[in-house]
Amino acid sequence: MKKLYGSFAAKLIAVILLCVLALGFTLSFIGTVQVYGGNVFSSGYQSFLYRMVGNKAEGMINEIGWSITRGTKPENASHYSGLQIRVLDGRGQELYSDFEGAEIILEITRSFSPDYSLYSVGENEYEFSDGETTVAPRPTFAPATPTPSAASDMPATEEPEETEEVWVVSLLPSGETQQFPSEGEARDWLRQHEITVTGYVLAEQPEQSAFETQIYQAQLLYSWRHDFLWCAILCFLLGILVFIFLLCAAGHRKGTEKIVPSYVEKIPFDVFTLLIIAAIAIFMTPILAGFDWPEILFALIPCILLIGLSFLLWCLSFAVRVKLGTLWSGCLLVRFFRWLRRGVTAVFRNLPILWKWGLGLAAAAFIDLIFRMNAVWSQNRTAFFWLLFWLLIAGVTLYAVLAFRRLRLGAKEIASGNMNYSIDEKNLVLDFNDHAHDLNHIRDGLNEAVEQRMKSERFRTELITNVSHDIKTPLTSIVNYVDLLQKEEPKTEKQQEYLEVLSRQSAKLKKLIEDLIEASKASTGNLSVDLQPCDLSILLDQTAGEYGEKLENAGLELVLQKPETPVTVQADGRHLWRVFDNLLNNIVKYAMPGTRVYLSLQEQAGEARVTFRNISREPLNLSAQELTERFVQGDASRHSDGNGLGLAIAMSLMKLQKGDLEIEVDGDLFKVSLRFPKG
Amino acid sequence: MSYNILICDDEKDIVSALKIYLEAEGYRTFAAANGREALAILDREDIHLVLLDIMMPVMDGVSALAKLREFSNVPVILLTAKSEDTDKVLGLNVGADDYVTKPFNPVELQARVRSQLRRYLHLGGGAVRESVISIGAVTLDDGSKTVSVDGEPVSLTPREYEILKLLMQNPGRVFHPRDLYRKVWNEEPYGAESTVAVHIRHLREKLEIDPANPRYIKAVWGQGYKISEK
Repeated sequence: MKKLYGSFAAKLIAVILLCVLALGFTLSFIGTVQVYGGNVFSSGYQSFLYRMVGNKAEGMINEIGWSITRGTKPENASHYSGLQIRVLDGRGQELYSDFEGAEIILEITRSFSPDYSLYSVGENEYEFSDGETTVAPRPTFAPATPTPSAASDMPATEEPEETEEVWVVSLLPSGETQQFPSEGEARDWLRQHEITVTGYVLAEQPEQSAFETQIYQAQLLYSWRHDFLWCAILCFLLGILVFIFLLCAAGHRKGTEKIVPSYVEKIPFDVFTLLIIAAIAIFMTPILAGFDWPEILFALIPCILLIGLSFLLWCLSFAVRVKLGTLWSGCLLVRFFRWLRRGVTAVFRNLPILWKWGLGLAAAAFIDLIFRMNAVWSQNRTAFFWLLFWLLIAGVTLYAVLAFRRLRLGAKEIASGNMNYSIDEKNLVLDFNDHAHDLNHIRDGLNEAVEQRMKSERFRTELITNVSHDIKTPLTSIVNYVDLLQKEEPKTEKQQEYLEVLSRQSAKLKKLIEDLIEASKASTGNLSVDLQPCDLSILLDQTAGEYGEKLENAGLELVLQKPETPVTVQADGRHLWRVFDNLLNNIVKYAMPGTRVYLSLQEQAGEARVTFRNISREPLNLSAQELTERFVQGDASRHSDGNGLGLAIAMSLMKLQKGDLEIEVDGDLFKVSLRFPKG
Repeated sequence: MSYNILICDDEKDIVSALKIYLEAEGYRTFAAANGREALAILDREDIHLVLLDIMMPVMDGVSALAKLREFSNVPVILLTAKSEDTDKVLGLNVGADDYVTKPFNPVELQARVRSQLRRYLHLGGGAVRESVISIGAVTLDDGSKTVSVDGEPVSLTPREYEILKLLMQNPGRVFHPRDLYRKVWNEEPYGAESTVAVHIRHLREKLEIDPANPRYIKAVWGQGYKISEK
């Protein structure tokens, strides 16, 4: 079957076969209709024969009837073999008969009235037997001179009476004229002059009879009546099969599995359809013009064939287009509308949003204006549409508001850091959709940036931690062997001095590494924070106890300022101690000996604040911000102890505990404030 | 009597330095470069204390410690470059008795070694008397009013002794400095709470090997003080 699809010969044969089948179907269908049209199965052969023979017999009887009314004697009227007649006059008296009572197949009776003219004198209307009525000039009767004009061509007006009507009937061929007082009597008289002709078609026709052909045809067709039906059904079914085969095979070519469009498919489908309709219309004209038998055979069959072929071509092309999926896209009209829609959309899309809304509003205003003007003229009908129009406007506005709300919520979510929030782009059109898309894009970008940063932070922390661990091992050896060397005796003074430098510097290096690890962990939040209620006034006391001696040794006086009542904040005691430790260590190192160090605790609206104040030994030539940046120290302090990480660690730790650290530099006054939010 | 100490570290220089320090104290030392060697030596020799590095090739310190604890309760001091709390907790949970973070102070290490050996060999099963309270290495005898750490007597001032006694009678409980002051000084602490902090610091300096990283007397910052082991 697949092979047959590709074969051109098979298709050609199928087309020819289809033509033949169509022809066969048409003919057998006509035959069937001919035979079955008389409802052969109920009234039988007689009825069919009647239709076949009746026409001719009727023609013959008419001819006989007319010739008798025109004056031919019945016995002289034409006679046909196989047809016997009986003629009766209007009163039912037999005028002539050659019917011998033999067996007949058909009896046809027709009445014939003679040609006549009927008119009344009063009415002056003429009626002729062919039904034609004319108005004749009314005869003029002069009251003074009652003598009628001799030139009157109306023979019935001998006795003109003003009041009495006279009906005149004249039979045309014989010229016999009668007058009657009323129309009814005149018509009765006319009826007596009608004749009735009955024709009998004999069952047994003589040789060379007039009905020979008709009867023969009738017998033949009648005997074929079942064959016609079967033939029609067979032709129809086979035709359908062949048609389906052609539809399936359409578009297939030898040697390829694909559907190949032909030249016909290059024509847009709607244009093609119009062409086919035009072709069919052209081929229809000869049929509509009407032809007589037998020219019809020569005109009708080619026309029908051409119409059928055109239709077949259309069907096959339709099938190919459906298979290719280009049925709609191939339509010129569809293409045009798509182009139009795309164009309008593109123009509308690319319009600035202000123009879009402006144009929309202008259009709405215009439509509204039309409604208002219309409302002046007509009353209720437009009000309904006006309402609809405003409902539409309300709908559009509501949609815009809802869309904006969705965008607003999404933007809010993303702004508040919910990076998993995705704005639903479904059901959003035009700029709303673009905006949603852009917002989602921004979110993706942010997401990536945040992830990237987290990754690099983590990487940095890990790097610092790992490197520090690796540095610690050799440092252990250095510390140990320096210590061992210090125990070796004897030593020169210089050796002793150098060893002390080594010892001091290795201790510094050790502290530096520990601070480095801590700083990186604190700044990336890589520390566990356990926030618990913590009384700052106790912490201040503990700090004073721990650092009192050290401060005294450095020549500093500690002044504690705190309220009597406990000041409780949420903090992690260990981390908080580390902050205090770092800050006080700095003070011990950098404060001017002989000055006071103020450590005060205040409770203000919504926050607790611990302030460290001291006078710097060296001038502070760096800004507060630079001081907290890692590894930054006052330039003047570069040579002294400490590594500058202390402040950075303290800042990070405060942030981890949701607090804050502020540095103020005012001349030599160095002030650090720790702020804890309360509640 | 000389004690046998096993030093296990993959860094040869550190092992040599440790040998010098420990042999100067009169101990016999054995060296191992990884956990497997350490286990082999433990199997062979009568070892009284192990210094165990955590990061080593072949078999690391924590695995070796876990194996070791299956057959021995010899004191183990971990040597570690990692200073994170989680690492310390892990080491102690697996069965270490103490830990020292690199780079360590040799004197501190010597002190810890001494402390562990004393506890392991001398204080193993001392009879517990009513008046004696022990927390870790710290023992307080209320009868004789003496305090000792790892059996070494420590001299305390009466206030320090009272504070320590109060803390040791309630191990784990956090004392507010004001409460401590009231109970020890028997008077109201009008702004004298920092005195308590000073005494605590002194106490720590006398009892702890590393006062900056106390094992027993701990400050709960912003709340008070307590005594607890580890």
